[in-house]
Amino acid sequence: MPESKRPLSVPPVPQPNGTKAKDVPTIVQVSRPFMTHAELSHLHTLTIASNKKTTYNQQKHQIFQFLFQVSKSIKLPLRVLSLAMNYYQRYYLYYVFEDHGNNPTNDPLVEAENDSFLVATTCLFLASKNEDCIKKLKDVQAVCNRIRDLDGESRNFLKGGVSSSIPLADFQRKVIMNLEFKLLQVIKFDFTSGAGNVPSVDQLVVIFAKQLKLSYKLTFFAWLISFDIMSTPLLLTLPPHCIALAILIVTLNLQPTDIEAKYADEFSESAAIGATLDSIDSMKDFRCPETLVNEGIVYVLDYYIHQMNFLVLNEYMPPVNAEIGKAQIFKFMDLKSKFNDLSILSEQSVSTNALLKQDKYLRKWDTGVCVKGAARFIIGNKRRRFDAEYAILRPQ
Amino acid sequence: MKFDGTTLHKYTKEKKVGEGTYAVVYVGKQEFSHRQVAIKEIKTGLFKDGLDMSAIREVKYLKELRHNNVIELVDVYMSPDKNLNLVLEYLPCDLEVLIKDTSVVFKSSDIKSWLLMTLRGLHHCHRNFILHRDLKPNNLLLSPDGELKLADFGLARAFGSPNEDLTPKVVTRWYRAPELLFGAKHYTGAVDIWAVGIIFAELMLRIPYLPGKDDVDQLDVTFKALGTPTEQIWPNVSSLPNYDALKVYPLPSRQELRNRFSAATDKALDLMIMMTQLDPSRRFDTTRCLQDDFFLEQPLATSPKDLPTKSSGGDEKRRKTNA
Repeated sequence: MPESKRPLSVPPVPQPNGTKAKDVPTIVQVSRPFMTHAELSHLHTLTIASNKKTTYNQQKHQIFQFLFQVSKSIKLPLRVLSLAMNYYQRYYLYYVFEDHGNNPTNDPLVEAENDSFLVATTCLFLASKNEDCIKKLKDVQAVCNRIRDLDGESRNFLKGGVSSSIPLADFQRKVIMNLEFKLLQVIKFDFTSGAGNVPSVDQLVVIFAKQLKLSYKLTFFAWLISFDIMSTPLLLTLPPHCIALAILIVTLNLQPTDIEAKYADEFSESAAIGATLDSIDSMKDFRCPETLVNEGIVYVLDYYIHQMNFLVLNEYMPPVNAEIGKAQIFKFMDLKSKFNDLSILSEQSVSTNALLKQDKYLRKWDTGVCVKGAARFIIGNKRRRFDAEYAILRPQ
Repeated sequence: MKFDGTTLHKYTKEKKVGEGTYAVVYVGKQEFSHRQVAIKEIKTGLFKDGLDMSAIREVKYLKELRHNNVIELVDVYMSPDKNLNLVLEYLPCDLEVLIKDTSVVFKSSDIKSWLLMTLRGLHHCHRNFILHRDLKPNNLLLSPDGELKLADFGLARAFGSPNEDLTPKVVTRWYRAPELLFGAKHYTGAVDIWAVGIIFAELMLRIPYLPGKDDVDQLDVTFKALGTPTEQIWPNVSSLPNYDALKVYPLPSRQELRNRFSAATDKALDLMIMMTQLDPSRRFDTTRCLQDDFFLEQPLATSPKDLPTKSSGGDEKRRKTNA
């Protein structure tokens, strides 16, 4: 009896696209990890309706608190939290906040993508993967739901009292997978966040402070600022090392003496601090372009002048500064007035609405793009190669 | 922006050549240049935890690196079927295939050339603060013109900060450094150097040097060949989590190593010994390896285009130098 043919372990797969390529429209997406403030607010006008601005901002604050609690509870390092907050802000640059109109079939899965807490969970989950401290999604969900006081086993979460065929946790998982895919598209699959292997701002502040031989108290003060700044859009504007240096320059200028720190140390003479300040060569020692550092300094000072009372740094300082006999905020204001003539980034190329509209990168992202054609994701430093490709495709 | 108009879809997938846990690999072409490429199609959202970590690592680190001895990530694109595609340089052969191909003869200058290219690629990774963490002959790919390139960055990661734990469960067993076998949570580029040292040995022996059957056996095989580490030669080794010195094998004498690697010159043996030091802090780093006298000793490394290739039925195993 002839031996019957043994089945193949892997079924043969039809060749995709055939051997001849079809012409599919392609969109090229160069990752732009950093944008100017004008570009950020332009994108926000497209994704956040003017009557929802307050809701967005209040909720963002609430969401960041939530993310902080979750990452503390599952012991994620600060850099993951920082990246998650970065992702969250980036998500709403390209996707409409509370987009209830865009769901013609009333699909509960699509509707749930509007849940900013699930968006935040997704951001934290992807950030943990990117920073190499992945947790099981199931575990992340469990902690998130506990903090939000939700029951993952519940089946009564759909609108109109309809009972769901799957429990809430499974439903959320589907939504998170969809959201992750949407998020990956807006970060343009750029896992370097524009900064390569550069550590996060909170780590850099400490590393730089050591390099400048700062005292424990000054380092702690700078670190508290970095913690406050971590949740701001400044991380979408400047690379982390420039922010870290800006924070240290602010710290050295303020010379805080009244910070409550666990460990006291010999306080450096103000003359020494002055010498340290004079010796900083931002480009040579820290590879930071001066304009970017200046931009950071101005932002940090403005942020404290406007928000001082709500920030963590405030909790570690006595309300009145003994040296000037006034509230702490005045020290920041004094310093700001000294820095009035700093040269910061020119936003001339994005100064008008017409100019901003010319840049097709600054538009809402349509996830359908990938279904219609292929999307290519490139990080900025490979631009030169695409100039060459472009020349081949469109000979003059 | 200049590039957002419609252009032609630039890649074709021609043949499926492999399937991994999270990806299918095809050979294809870049349309406009007819350059052969390998396309890794990643199944997104297929698993319960979304996009796989290895895919993230591969994109993250390969986008950073550009070196003649590191595989090039040509492009990342998303196709209409919602899959993520990584377009990589197409490299038809790897070192494992050559090692197993008994009809190919390795000259000592050939081994030197492969080792040199591996170290150059690795040096580039390390100076960019990236650990490869999965070096083995199978991941050292060979281009048609003989260049060796480090591939598979699915386990790669950035050097950790001192207060952060790394997982010791990396590197394919046979190439795993002793600190990993002992479960160290802090390690350095020395784990990659160890792997290269073991590959070096394998190139000379033409069989795997330390083929442990399982994780426990790996400890035994490793220390039988290279000696059991003790506090004396490796201070603080006993504080590593899985340290175990039940069987203490003596360090091999030079003569024993010489007998095992009969064809190796003194300089070759010296370098291999420095790459396989049990104490990671004594192991050479890439710079010291690259500056080693071994590479200055005659015969010098074969130029890549003259290296042997896999036998394809014909008798000619070497590229013709000048036809």
